[in-house]
Amino acid sequence: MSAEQNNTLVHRSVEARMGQFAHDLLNESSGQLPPHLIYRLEKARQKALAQYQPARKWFWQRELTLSTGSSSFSNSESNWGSKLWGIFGVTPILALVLGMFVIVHWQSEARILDIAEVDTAILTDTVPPEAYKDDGFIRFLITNGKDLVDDEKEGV
Amino acid sequence: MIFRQALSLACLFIRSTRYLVIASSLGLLVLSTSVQAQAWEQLSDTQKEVLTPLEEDWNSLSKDRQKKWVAIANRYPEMSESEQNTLQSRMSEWASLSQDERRVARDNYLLTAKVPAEKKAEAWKAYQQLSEEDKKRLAEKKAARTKPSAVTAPTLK
Repeated sequence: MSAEQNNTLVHRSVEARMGQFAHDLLNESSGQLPPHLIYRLEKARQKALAQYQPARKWFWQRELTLSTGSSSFSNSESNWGSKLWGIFGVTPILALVLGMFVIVHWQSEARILDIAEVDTAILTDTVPPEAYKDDGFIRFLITNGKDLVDDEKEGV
Repeated sequence: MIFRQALSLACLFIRSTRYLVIASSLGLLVLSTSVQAQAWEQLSDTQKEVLTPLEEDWNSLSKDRQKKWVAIANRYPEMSESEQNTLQSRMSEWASLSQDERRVARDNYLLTAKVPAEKKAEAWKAYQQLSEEDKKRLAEKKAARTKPSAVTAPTLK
């Protein structure tokens, strides 16, 4: 070990001892503060606590915390439920429910309009509605009456 | 200063509820464009005139059927005069059919939708000349050869 390295180690050791000495001195002094200073410090602390108000949050901005005693559920850092709630919140869920209601309503309206279109076509067609509820006519129309001709050939 | 604070509060509120605002707007848009079921007294004069054949039974119709008839009445002004007369002459008969009969009629209409109108009219005229026995045989063949399908014409209760 060189002389220079030896000097550095001694220097650090002196610094550490000085630091420890200052630390001990301050701890000792805090216990020996005059009563009027302790009283003023206590008053200032109480005043600061009285003026402190936690930031107000709306219910959808709050994290969901399930009170299960000391389990990890109450710890928001490790709680996936809380994190998901924080990400999604109640507003998008409400929006999703409302969106689903809109889609169902829209589909129902579209179905009614489709039926109205078909009914209008039936009610204004060249043949009356009774023709469309007659399966015999539909068969006759689709096959051009061939069924009857075939039956005659077969001697039915 | 107060205006700026109010503006920033409004921005904050909109930002936090933007999904709700978008969905609500969409909902209002859909509701405003949809056909509404109405009591007879609430119909417009034109709608009442078109739907006169249904006046007596109007209140006994389901909400969906009322909406459907209102939609038909809204199409009425776009029809030709002969179509308007045909429509009105057939409305009572159509409304008196059972739900199942209307479903069958819609199925059959969609099945023959591509057949030209003239051919349908000729076939109907020829079909009416057939004996009841022939009509029955044709109906039985139709029933025997119609495959049950999950896809049928939509119905209203």
